[in-house]
Parts: sequence; C-alpha cells; structure tokens
Amino acid sequence: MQAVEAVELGKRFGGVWAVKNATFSVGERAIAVLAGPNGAGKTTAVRMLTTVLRPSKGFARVMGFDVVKEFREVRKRIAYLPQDYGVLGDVTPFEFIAYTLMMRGLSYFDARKEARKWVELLGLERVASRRSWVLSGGERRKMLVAATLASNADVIFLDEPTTGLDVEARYTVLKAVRDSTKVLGSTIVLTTHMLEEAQLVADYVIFINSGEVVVRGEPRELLATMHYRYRVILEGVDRKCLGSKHIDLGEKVITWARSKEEAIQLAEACKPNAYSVKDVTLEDVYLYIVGEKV
Amino acid sequence: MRFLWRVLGVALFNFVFVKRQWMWILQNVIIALGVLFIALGWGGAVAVKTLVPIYIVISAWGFGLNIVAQMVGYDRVVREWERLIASPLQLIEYFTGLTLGTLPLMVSSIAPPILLYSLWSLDLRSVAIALLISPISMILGSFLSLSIVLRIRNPMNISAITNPLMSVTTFLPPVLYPPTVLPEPLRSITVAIPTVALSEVTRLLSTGTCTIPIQLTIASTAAWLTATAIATLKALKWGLE
Repeated sequence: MQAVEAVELGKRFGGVWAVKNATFSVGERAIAVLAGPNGAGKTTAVRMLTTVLRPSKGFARVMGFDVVKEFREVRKRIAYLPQDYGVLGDVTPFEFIAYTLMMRGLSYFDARKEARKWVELLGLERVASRRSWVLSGGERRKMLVAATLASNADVIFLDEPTTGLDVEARYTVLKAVRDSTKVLGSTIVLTTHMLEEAQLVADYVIFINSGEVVVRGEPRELLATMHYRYRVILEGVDRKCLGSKHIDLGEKVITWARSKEEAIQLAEACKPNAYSVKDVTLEDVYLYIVGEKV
Repeated sequence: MRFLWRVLGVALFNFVFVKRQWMWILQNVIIALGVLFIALGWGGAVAVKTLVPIYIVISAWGFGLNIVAQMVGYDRVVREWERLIASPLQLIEYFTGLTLGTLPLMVSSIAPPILLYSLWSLDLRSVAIALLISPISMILGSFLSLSIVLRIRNPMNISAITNPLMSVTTFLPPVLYPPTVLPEPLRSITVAIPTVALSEVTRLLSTGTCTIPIQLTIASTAAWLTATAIATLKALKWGLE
C-alpha cells in the first residue's frame, strides 16, 4: 500500500489554479520531499493531503483512505506542521510537546513521558521550561518539529520545517526527521525549496513548479536522467559559445558537461575570466528541467 | 477516555496563556469590584441586588464574545487551526477545551461579586438564576462574535472587532441601567438587542420586576440564538475548505 497517493489533484482559488495536476505517490516509511520554488503549489498540495483544503479536482488517499470521503480516518493517521506556524509565546517546549500529544489522545502521564523523550532527542533540555518567546528561531522550530514527530502518526507532513534555520539547527531537524522514519516507522512528506536538503534526506523527490509535478523519482534516478555529470560555472563569457541549455545569471553562466574533459574544453573554448566545475546535484536537475523559466 | 484527554490537552494548552497573562485576571477582579462599589455607592444594597445578577450574565456574554472568538481567530491566524484539523481532534473537543482552558477569565469576573454578595447575606437565589442564564449568554456571545470573525479573511486584530462590539452591546443599551430611563418608543425597540433581552430576563427572575414584556425578551433571545447559530455554523469549517 502507498502511504500517500495523489491522482490528478488540483485546487483552484477563484480563477487561479494553485495546483493543477499533481499525480504522485509515496511508499510507506519513506521520506518524500516536495521541492520547488516559492509559490509552486507545495503548501496547497500538502493542505489538500492533510484534509485542510478540499480538492477542486482529482483525488488523494492517505494510508488508503480518501482525503475527502474518509477524512476522519485520514486525520487519525496524520500529523501536520504548517508553514509559518506561529506558536503561542507563553508556552514552553515541554508544555507544547506534552499538550500537543494530549490533544491527540495521549493521557497526561504518557504525554509528559513522551515529551521528556523528545525534548532530549531534539537537544532542547536546556530550554525545555523556558517560554518560547525567549527561544532562538532554531530552538522554536525544533520544538515544533519535535511535537509533530512525537505524534507517532503514520504519515507526518512538515511544511518547510527548516526554512530560516542556521546550518546546525537545520541538520538537527533533518536528523530527527530521518531518525523518526527508522525508529517510529512513519512516512514523512516534507516540503522545501532547498534542493540540497532534498538530496540529503529524501528517498523520493517530487519537483513541483507552477502547480504541476515536473518530475519525480528517487534522487539517484533523477540525477541519472540528467545525462550530464558536471555543472560548469563560467564567469564573463560570450553567450554565443554556449549551447542552448544554460542559465544566465548575468555576470555568471551555469551550463553542464558530460565529463570533466568536456567541461574543461567548454571553458577553454569560451575563454571565461574564471570558471569552476562541480558534480551535478538535484538543483541542477531542477534547473535543467525548468531552466527556460529562470 | 481519549475524548477527555484531548479536551484536557486543548484546555491546558489554552490555560497556559491565562496562567502567564495573570494581569488579565487581576483586571477582571478590579473591574468587578469597581462595578460593585459603584452600585453600592449610588444605590445601596438594592442596586447591588439588581446589578450583580446582570453583571454575571453580562460577564458570560463578554467571555463568549471576546475571549472565545479572539482565541479562535488567533488560532486561525497562526495556523494552529490547520495543525489541529490535521489531527484526531474534533471540533467539539476543540471548543470544549478552549472554553474550559479560558474559563478562569470568566470566573475572575464573577467570583468577587458572588463572594461579596454571600458575605452580605443577600439572596443567593438570584445569583443562582444568573448562573443558569450565563451559559446561554456565553453561547450567544460566542455565536455572534464567531459569525463575524469567521467571515473575515485575515482577522489580524480580532479585538478591534470584538471590543467595540462588547461596548456597543453592554454599555450603550439599557443593560446595566433600567430601560425605564429611555422614552417609550425606544424602550420596546431595545429588546431587539440580545444583551437587553438577557438582562431583562435576569432582572425578572431575580427581582421579580421587568420593564419589557417577558414574551418579547424570550422571543428576542431565541431569534438571536437561532440566527447567530446558523450564521456561525455556515462559516465554521473544520477543514476541507
């Protein structure tokens, strides 16, 4: 059974389609990353999957249950951390996690026990009893992620959980996400616009742009579809010497090469002021696919 | 059992706010005592006896109108609403927990007058009547406020709506003063204001006197309850919007 299944899913606000035609599925105990630029439709897709929004077209199932017809069954099996969630400043991380778990049906004592565990897992011991308005942005986000992961739900939706975090906090959150699939067996659907993050944590990546699924697959599959192995960044070159597939960044240009030799040949032919060659990443796959729009 | 834990979870979560913002409770106590002393100073024990039951009913109205609606509006703005929709929590559990968690704010309004009332050995029957009418008052206040707040796309400052609504429905019309102050054509018209109808019912049941016919006050309350309940339920969506 697929943990999440969306078929031709769409949502229209007035005359505008926020999500047009999203078809994808996510296997159980996997981490799926919905990646794409801001405004791509990631959040709207997640809000439909979490039964917050009613789809305008298509259908979706979570753990085999229809998100519209069987929304109560879906809600029993999911947890969701919305993007830009604003936590009450007076609550402490310990209280937030414990009361969130009680709201899901855990007893007072079990909720406190679990809260203690998750405070420790996310490294929040030092600030566990401080009010959240005195916490740093990273600590606050860890608190939110901890409360969501602690739900032990079958499918956990995290909408941009690492946006605005420093490197250390980002990796702590990503590690907790990764661990929770191993320890709890949850399926995670995470949205991000940071593609290096997707490459790092995802078992499955779904690229969304302008409300449509552009490409989907495992990170290594997506990298394999690229045909190119290297990203070449050239500085101060004449565009005429480049192929049709390149991203113009003004002073710099991004293009791709199949081998290191080809990259060097390209650089020598174009006579740039400077150049660098790097392995391709998911960011290149994305840029290569939707690059025309950049 | 899970129902109880879920309700308690919402209640404790909201009580955090009440507990840490204890100045609100202090403010309620001070206002309640102030109203009591105003009544005592100008009208003696008779005024206290008339005003305290009405003050209890109006405090419940204010609690529903201001606190419940503000908390719901706040939860929607900060996306707590969405987080809770995508969970096993049901709407009835949310509202029950929210009301329980913020109830100390209402208790702080009504406890001081009740306490002094019993110390003065005044008739506690009228307080009991007021306490019985209070849930209706609170529900009606919540419905009225929610029917407006839930229709606002981005209710960033909900108190900018609920506070004026509170003033308009409690201080201007004959709620804390008798309708007899007003000339006759106005006197009967004011029964259309829900707080006037509620206070008139309270006045009749606690002191045996009222200015407006009881049938009119009951009809007005019932009409407001029905209309605001329909308006609220139409706008209230627990997901799948």
